[in-house]
Amino acid sequence: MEFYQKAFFVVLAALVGYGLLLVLQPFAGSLTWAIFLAFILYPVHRWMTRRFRGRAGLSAGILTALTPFALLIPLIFLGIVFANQARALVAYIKESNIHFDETLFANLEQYRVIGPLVRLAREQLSISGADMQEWLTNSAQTVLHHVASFSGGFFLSALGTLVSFFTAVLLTQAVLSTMSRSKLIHSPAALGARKQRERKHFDYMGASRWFFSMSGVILLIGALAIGGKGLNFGIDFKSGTRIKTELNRAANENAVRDAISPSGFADAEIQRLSGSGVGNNAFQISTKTLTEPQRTSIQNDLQKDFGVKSFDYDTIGPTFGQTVAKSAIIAIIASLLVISIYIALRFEWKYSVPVFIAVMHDILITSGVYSLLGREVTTSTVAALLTILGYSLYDTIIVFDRIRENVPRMPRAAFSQIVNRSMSEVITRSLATSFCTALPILALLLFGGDTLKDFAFALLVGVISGTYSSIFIASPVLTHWKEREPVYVRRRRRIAQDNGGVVPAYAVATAGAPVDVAPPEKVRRRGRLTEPEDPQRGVSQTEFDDMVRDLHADEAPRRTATKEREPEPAPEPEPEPEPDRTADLSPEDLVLKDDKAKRPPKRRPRNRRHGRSR
Amino acid sequence: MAMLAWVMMGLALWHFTIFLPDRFWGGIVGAFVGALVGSILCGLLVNGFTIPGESDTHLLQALEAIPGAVIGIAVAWFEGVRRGNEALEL
Repeated sequence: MEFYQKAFFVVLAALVGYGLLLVLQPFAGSLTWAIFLAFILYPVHRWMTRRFRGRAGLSAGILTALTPFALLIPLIFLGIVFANQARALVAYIKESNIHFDETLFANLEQYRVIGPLVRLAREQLSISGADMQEWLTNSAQTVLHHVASFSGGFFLSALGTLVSFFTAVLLTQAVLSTMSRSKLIHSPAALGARKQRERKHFDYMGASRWFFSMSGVILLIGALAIGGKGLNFGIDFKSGTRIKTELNRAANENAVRDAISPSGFADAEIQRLSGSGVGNNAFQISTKTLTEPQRTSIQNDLQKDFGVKSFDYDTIGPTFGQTVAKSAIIAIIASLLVISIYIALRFEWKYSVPVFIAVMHDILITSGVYSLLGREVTTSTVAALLTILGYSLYDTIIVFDRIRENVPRMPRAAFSQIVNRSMSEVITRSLATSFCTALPILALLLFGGDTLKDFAFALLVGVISGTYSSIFIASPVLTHWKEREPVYVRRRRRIAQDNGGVVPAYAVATAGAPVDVAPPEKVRRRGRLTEPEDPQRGVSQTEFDDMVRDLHADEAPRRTATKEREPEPAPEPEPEPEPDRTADLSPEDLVLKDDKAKRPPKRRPRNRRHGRSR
Repeated sequence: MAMLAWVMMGLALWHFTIFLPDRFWGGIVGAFVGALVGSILCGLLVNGFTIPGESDTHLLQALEAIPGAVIGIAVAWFEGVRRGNEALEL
């Protein structure tokens, strides 16, 4: 059995290792940069720690906050300079009269160092002047494109993060403190400082079976819909041609279909386009991949019946859809893996499985709804699925974090009671957050364009499902699993005995024992020796005790091994223990371990024959 | 596409295990693993260890996962009973 357990863990470790490799591969560059930065900034961190009297956390925090500013501004300027240079180079090559003709190469070949290289390159690669000019122009344009996109993306994300950080941490605090001092707001209730209302004691865990059933029924319908109808994949996932056309005369989808049917495209997918940027009479026609004559045929059909104002098309190859689908699957699996690992580290490994189940539940329910309604699955849907994953996790973390906080506070309660209590504490916040998130999504769904509507619909379903699953799926699963642990089994048994065989939904005080206790605080050693409480005495009693403990800190460790040894001979009578020399000392008589200057240095005698033969 | 239908069916059936006394091997998570593994294995067995694509998926393919999921859940339950797991009812 032990062998199988070990083998299982080895296989699990190998799988996790491989998964981590897959996950971290795209971030290899960023990680290398992070290691490089850590290496460069470590001396600064040490210097700052010394300046802040050993407060390494404060030093690390300040350094971390300052690093983006120190890097961001130079990088932005560097990006702008690069972009300008590349743009200027492209313009120069395009507009100037430089021609990479044969004379230029002949001149270059005369040089002693680069001449043979140029000749060799021309002979091997058969480069003509025109080729070289085209290559240089393309290269400069590519550099410009990459630099511009990198600088733009980096600048926007960094700016967004900074602004968000600034508004969330500093601005809201400043506004709230200003408001609290103003005469406009007299009542503390206006700032949320009101008396806490009585919480409703709903038995979430008791009702969970009915919510589980509801989810089960929704998933069952979704599974049948996926089996029966399948998913309506958009052209991004399948190869084909997408035509966007604006017509002169009014038409509807059926009329457009009738118009192109004679050319053999009756099965084309036709959608009316709306929103700004397209006219009142615009349509999107998605079909299998079309050849040039087929496209012309469709254009002629439309021209004949309605008159064509504009006619654009895109052809998407089969590999694009496969790449998108593969990337999406890898992204979802990688995200789930990283999320599980993070939660296992932050909470406990048992917390990560319910999160995984809840996220899976949300993604599958969204897929089922898409199948049931026959909505088109596009790349926006995939983006929305990934967003749902993040949102569902966020909501579940709120609930789990409160459970984690309440576990040490309720040392006599059953796990279901802890979860019920935690749920009643966070449910209002969870619902309020979800409602606030759903409002802008609803606005996007009602007033956004076609692409945004796709995104918003998936997001709305996911947000509703995410809120629901974090309350009614993840927490009950965690409760069922944790209640199997021996400590909670014992508690549950004891509570049932005390309450006539029933475990109440919420913890109740029994035999005078309180329901809540203060969580154990971490005892921090006082590290300040420079400012004694009593100047007359020199150091405080606590500091004196610490110093005494330090003097005994170098004692030999006690034997902890339990290996059986051969019987030892009878021990000799132990000598009288030496009296504790520090017991009667005054603080002034103590010498700190660091005070080595007063001790004579012990030097090893120099080996004068070192390195010489005897 | 068939794989998605099997997984969804397995997950859907797992939700109803909440009505059974929890004597599963590995608790409710053991039942979850049993349901998913059972539904996928059964689907693969019925289709000759191939996963039908988008165009080959039909309603019966989703139903093929039901016996597998039930068997998987039953295996987890009987193994839990064999190991002497006490029933847990919340």
